[in-house]
Amino acid sequence: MNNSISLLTVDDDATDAKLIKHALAELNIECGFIHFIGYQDLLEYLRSPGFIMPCIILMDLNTPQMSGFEFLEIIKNDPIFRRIPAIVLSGSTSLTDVNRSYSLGAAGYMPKPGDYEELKNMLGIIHKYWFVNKLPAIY
Amino acid sequence: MEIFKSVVILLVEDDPGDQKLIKKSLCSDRIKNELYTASSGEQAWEYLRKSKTDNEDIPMPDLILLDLNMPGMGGKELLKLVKADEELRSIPVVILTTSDADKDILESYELQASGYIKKPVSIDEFAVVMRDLSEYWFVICKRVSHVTAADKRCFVGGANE
Repeated sequence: MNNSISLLTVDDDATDAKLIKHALAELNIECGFIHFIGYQDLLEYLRSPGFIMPCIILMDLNTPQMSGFEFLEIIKNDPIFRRIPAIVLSGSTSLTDVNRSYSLGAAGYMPKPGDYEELKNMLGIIHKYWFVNKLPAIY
Repeated sequence: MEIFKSVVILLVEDDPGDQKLIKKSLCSDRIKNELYTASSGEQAWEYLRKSKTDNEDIPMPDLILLDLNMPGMGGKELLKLVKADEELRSIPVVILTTSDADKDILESYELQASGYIKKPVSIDEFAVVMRDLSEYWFVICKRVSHVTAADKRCFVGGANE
């Protein structure tokens, strides 16, 4: 990830998003960062003229109103949004949830880290992996 | 972040030089892996079809590393088949290719690739890329659980967790 890539996160807990932002800064990872509290907000953003690619989505599964699974089904059936890598970051370690997420097209499924250091380590690895990957730039 | 069993990787690559390089990079990695190699899309599809049965010699992969440009069945064609298959679609597929054409990148993600890596030129860079890839898929990501008929027999009456 570099500053031309945006990291979009969906989490109804604003504290988690603040921690991610803080960890990215501490790791000197320069990328766009936008936090959404729900999937409706994220979908509105994706459909707005201001939406910029390339981006990756770091998503929670259990959110009020629309679940992560519902969101995955929507974006993975959309001709444009289906190109965006969506990584699940969830408190659930149920194998059913893991398999369902991958079957719906998630580009990774990771358990929510237990503490801040684990979060930093995880973001560092996500950064290194997506930095070497080519992402669809424009459409 | 514990690793309970070795990771199964299916490498689909027609170039013997690249096969060797990838094998070497993965061997030097700290994550224990079983690497199966298919030299063509057809061979890979044959492997994947057989992996759906309970054959211990042909385990279902945890990850597929897929070249795009191969004679016969190309990478995109194979990716399309994998993602259309109910039992195989949950396996993450990462493209590993010499092409960095926008069209290939776009189409691969449209077909639900879980990453697109341009093959590095130097051996050292290759090792770094393979390490980053392994850390992402096998250290921080949960792996897909392939439920075999043997597992089902073990878990009769209980949750398969």
